[in-house]
Amino acid sequence: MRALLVPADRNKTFVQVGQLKLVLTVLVPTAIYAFLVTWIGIYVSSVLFIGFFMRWLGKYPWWKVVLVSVATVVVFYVVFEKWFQVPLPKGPVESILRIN
Amino acid sequence: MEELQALAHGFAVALSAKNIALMFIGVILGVIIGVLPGLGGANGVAILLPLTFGMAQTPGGDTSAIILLSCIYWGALFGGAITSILFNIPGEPWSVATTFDGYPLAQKGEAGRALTAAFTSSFVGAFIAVVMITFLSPLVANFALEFGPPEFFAVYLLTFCAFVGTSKEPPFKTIAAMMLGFALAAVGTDTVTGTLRLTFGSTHLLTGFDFLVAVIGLFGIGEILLTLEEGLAFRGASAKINLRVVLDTWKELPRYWLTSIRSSAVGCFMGIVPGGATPASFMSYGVARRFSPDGDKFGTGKVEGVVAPETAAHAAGTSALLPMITLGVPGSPTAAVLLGGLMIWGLQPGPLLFKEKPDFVWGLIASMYLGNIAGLIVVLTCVPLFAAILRVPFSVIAPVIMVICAIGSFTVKNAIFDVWMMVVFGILGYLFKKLQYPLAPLVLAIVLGDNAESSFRQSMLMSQGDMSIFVSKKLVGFMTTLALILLFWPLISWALAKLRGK
Repeated sequence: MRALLVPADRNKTFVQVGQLKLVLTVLVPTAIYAFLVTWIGIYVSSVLFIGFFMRWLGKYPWWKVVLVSVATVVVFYVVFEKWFQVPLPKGPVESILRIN
Repeated sequence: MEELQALAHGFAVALSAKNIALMFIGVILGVIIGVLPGLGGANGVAILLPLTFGMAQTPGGDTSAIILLSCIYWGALFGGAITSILFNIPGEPWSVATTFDGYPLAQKGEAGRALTAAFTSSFVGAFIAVVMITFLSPLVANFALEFGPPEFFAVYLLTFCAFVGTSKEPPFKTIAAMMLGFALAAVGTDTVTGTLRLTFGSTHLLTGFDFLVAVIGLFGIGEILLTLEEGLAFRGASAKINLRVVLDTWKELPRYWLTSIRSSAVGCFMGIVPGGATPASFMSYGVARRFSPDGDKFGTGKVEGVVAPETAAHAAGTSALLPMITLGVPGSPTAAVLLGGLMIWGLQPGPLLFKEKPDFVWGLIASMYLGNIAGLIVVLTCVPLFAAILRVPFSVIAPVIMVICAIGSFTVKNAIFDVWMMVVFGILGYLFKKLQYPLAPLVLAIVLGDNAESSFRQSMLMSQGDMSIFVSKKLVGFMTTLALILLFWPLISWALAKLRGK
């Protein structure tokens, strides 16, 4: 264990294909998420982002996916907008629902 | 004993019901942050910093705000040990050395003993460091009142050079990371002439890169990407702590008093010169192994091997605040984030803070004592709860952490551009970690780059471009020389080893 952590062994593979795939499965959705925030606000894109992860990587049933992602975002909304009064970016969905 | 009087006043400030409640909230949040992969002391505090803007505006609120943030820091320091011992996953870089003996202990079914030893020695390390801060910081601040631009530049130089000299990474990698940080710090409006630098015509870059966003991306997203490589599941020993285990371990601990003292000394030193908690924990683990009578059994689950790195990490993490409050020069990335917080709240960290805001400074120092006691209580009583967090499946916790990071980056300046920058910094942080470049010098260079530059240019204006101003007086000359020695320390120690070899 210590040999793994302390010295920098020189001939180590930089990244294995399988590892890179895993890293990209997170990186690409995150990049898309960052762009989505610009268009549809942080709340809707967060629901989509968390839902995507749970459905695609976690293979959860739909009701759990919807429950967890929506509940998380509602908690964030209450904590940030109501409690600390920090406005977060919103999009068309919020304006239809008249949340501001 | 002027300090004791001031400290008593500080306790009076910190001991209000509101501040004590904030302490516990801070510590609990901090432990959660320390346990979660991808969230750590530096970016955890960075994410929560914007939430304190409102709090700091109220009278006396800045003290409450710093108490909340610093307690998050203490909590994160405690939390790192939990994952190291139970899951063999260091939640924080400074608890890597704790895994060496902590995880074997947990595998032997003695997780409770290892955890108690880790928490108690963390507390001892932090306590010794706070005592040192109490008595040393007024002296340093008084001393620093005489500082002019050349002296301040010498302090910055010393900070940067100390990184090169004390880092456990190769010196050239440290220098490369630092230079990249300076380049990022240079982006934006030139503070002296007002011309634009490296903005490439983009309005987003007018104000430069915010280091809070950099910290969230580098440490947060980068860490998650790295954790992913290890796979998606955590497997760990179960945690049970009861009063008997705690008391038995406490009976055992005084035996390691010498290790504790040595580790605290290493930690305090590494915290003040900005070596940081991570090298301090490794160094003191190495020292303990060399001096301990059963040093060859280290790595098989010795309590002493948990005591040494934890004491040093906490001593270093705590004493990193000493140069921050006295000189305005942070000793670690998390201290840098706290420093950023002070500046956003409109406080100028540095020697004058002791004169102008004694309530704030001594309230903070008193909260260090109380916060660590609160931390010890929280972690000893709630370990199973915190360990349960790691059993939440990664496919749920990872996107939630990402969303928290995104919200944190956005709230720094209310700019969506910063969310994109966070992703970019995340990729950068991942590459840095893969290539084993240190992140701390990069962050410190972004934070201190502007200040170092302006004090350098003021000195140059004073001396009309004559570099000898940095060796003209005793104090500044001493600091510059010390900085250069530290900068070339890897070369010097190499040469010494060569000479001794012959």
